Amino acid sequence: MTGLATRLRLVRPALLGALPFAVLVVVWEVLARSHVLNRVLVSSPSLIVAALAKQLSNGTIQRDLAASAVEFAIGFGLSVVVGVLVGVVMGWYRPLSHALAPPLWLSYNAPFFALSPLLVVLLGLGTPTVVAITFLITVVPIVVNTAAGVRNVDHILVRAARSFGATDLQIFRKVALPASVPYLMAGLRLGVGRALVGVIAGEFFGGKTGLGYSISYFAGTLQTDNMMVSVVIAAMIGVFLTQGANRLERWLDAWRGWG
Amino acid sequence: MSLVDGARYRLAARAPVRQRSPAATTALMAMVVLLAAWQLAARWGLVKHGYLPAPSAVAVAGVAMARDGELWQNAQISLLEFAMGLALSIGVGIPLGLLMGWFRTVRELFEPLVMVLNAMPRIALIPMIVVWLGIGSISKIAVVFIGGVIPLIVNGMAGVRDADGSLVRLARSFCASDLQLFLKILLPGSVPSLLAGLRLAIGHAVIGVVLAEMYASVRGMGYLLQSYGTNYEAAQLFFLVIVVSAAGYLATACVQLVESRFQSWRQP
Repeated sequence: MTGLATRLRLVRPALLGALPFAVLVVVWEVLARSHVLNRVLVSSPSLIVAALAKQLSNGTIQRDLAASAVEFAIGFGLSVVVGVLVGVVMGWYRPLSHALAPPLWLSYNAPFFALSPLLVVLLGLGTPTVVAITFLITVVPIVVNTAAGVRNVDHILVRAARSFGATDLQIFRKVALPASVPYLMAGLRLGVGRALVGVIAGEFFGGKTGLGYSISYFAGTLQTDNMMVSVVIAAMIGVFLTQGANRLERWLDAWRGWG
Repeated sequence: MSLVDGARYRLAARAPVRQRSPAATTALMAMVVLLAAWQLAARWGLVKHGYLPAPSAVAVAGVAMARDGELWQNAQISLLEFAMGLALSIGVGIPLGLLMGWFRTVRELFEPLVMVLNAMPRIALIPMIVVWLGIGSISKIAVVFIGGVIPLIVNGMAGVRDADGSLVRLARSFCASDLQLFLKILLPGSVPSLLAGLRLAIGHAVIGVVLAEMYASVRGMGYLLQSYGTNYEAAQLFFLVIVVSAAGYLATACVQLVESRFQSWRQP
């Protein structure tokens, strides 16, 4: 009896948390089947599953996922490399960070998507343009957070390390890097979210395949079921990437502990 | 979990750094050098003509757009959509977030849903929203709302949950009612977190309104961006990009100013 009660208490959050999803699916399906909602416009869970099966068998999803994954990987990877490098240099040399501050602030909210027509002409439709847009909107938070992390390194620690004859490289590896990890991770977390937005929105305006392109194409041709498939997959990828960032953060925290 | 989340938001929140006057001089000089280099590069044709218009050309295009009223007419529409969507997301997001922080059952019910909506790229919903609500202002307001409401919920929840436990216990020991506890301790305690959420919300809202207008509309800043872009009028396009960026920065900077006022309210 008590065993059951304990078990119920343990699964309670999971059960409660699943409830809104279940209600959503059931109500949506019922409303769509009873024609209260227009099925052409809102689709329905069963129609989405059918569309998913069809897209899986004709390879649309696989092609979209592959294209978006490549764009995400290049765009985000480039942003991390460039962002961390520029951020470290900026954090280290104060005047540089002052000099770069205004353009960085402006870029934070810049609608880089709007440049897609020029980028398409310059780089070509599809992957290159989407990668460029993704890079432009992702790199800024990484630069800013890395710089903040390096700037906030405890100077007493740096001086102590110097007194004991540490080289610049050792100071960077043993003092500056572990100290700036929380900031760096905050930047990467923002960066992951923005890169995903960059890929999807970049594909709206400058893509020729990929999840964002499919969402926009299926919406434009009123294939709501197919559009919903891509939207649901985009959401799942978002959740998956966020979980990944959480894992990485915990792992890095452990590394800081003894690093 | 939520405590860690709150901490993350604070870190992210701290990102753009305020500066002091010698810094302002450096910044100004850097801007002048950058603009001069850009002007020369454009004049000497280092960048293929048309792709990177000179700053002077951008300024001329901007003055022309401001003169004939095109800029203000469209900016007004975008501002209105932005303001209405943001007001709606504040009105819904903050109470909902505080409720979720306060009542365990409400939190357990909605946290997973909110987390999914928080993690997904919400701009993927724009085409769907346009199909449902049309290409008018309503769909833009909905996009801004969805972009803004989630960070406010998340930070409202984190703000209440990160409340100082000893303060709460102290208030309880002095027989504070639930309402008093909420008004005197939890609400003030969550102000810094809510402001950080507001700043994130504004960022999402700016991107949201522009993207939604670019995707489908016949007026607004996004529409202007899209039409000048597809006509390859680069000078006008760059001017509009800078205007939107500056507006986004100004809105964020205002919240940051308020945030620094409330810095002392932040619980350690």
